Amino acid sequence: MTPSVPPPVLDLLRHGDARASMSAGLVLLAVLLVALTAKALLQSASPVPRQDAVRLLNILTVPLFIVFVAIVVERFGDLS
Amino acid sequence: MTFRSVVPAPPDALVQPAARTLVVELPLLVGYLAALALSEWLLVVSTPLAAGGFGLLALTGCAALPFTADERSQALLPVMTAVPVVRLIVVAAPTADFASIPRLGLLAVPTLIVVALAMRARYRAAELFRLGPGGWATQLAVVLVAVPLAAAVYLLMPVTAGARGHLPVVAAGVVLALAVVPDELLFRGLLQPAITAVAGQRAGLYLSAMMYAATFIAYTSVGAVAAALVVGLALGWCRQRTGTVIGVVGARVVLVVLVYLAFPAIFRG
Repeated sequence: MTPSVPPPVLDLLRHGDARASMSAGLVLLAVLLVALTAKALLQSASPVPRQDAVRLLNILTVPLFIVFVAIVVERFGDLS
Repeated sequence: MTFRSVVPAPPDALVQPAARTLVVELPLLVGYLAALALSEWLLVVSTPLAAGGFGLLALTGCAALPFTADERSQALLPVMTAVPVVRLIVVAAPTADFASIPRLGLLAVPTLIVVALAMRARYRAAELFRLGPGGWATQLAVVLVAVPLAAAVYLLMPVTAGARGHLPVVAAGVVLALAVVPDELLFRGLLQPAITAVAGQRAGLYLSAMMYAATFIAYTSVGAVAAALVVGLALGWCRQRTGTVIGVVGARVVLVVLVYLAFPAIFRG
């Protein structure tokens, strides 16, 4: 008889897996590219870019870039 | 006979700012909650789809800024953007091989950066940590609220064994304590007052608690969502009454240490 397993608290991706996480990483990369493009366009559109818009885009770009770097480092670690 | 002009608009007209007509109100906030809950539910079906939902929600928040008509809506957008960004990080970060508590600690770093950037966009950190009326005695009372809350959470949401991996108990406690701070600052510190400013106190309390509970939908456990809702409502109410996050951050730290370390050690030996 299989014992009942409690719900996996704090374990959202435990069953899941590196493959699902990798596909989500690709989505993260797409979002990061869109945000960086928007930021570049915003900064080139006028000599004085709107600071509030740039700051809002930073909320996406800075942490997503850090996670993207972590993903790349992890992939290199897997390869070596 | 008259002729309509077919001369193209002058270049100035093309660079005119967008019409600022968007005011964030209750229906829009409910729509945001529904979109967030749907993205969370998609985690059960497909992680990449859910990541797409979070990404789209975050980008929509950024795209809405040029159309906002008032200061309060503009103050809400950074927080509304920060929530799906944090969720996107949680599902995409390469942490699947870690045990729960170490992973939570690792994810706290980008989460803290998101919160700091969202705070920098509109808020002053000093306002958030200002000691409210009643002083430290009131904050201590708020921290003590965590004890009955932790008991309720422990009953509703049993903890998986081995959550701390190879971490010693003290280290796991420190990691847990640090890991929940950004989460608390985001939901009770920034989101709740921002919603309150546009939709009133009651909506601020209920909607922020529901948004917090929505982030537990992927556990596919009614108990987990109910526990998160209870925590969100209780700590949100304390946050509203005291006007500061000091007490609720302390309460959340005590709550997770009790639920993930103390209670399992006491009740399971």
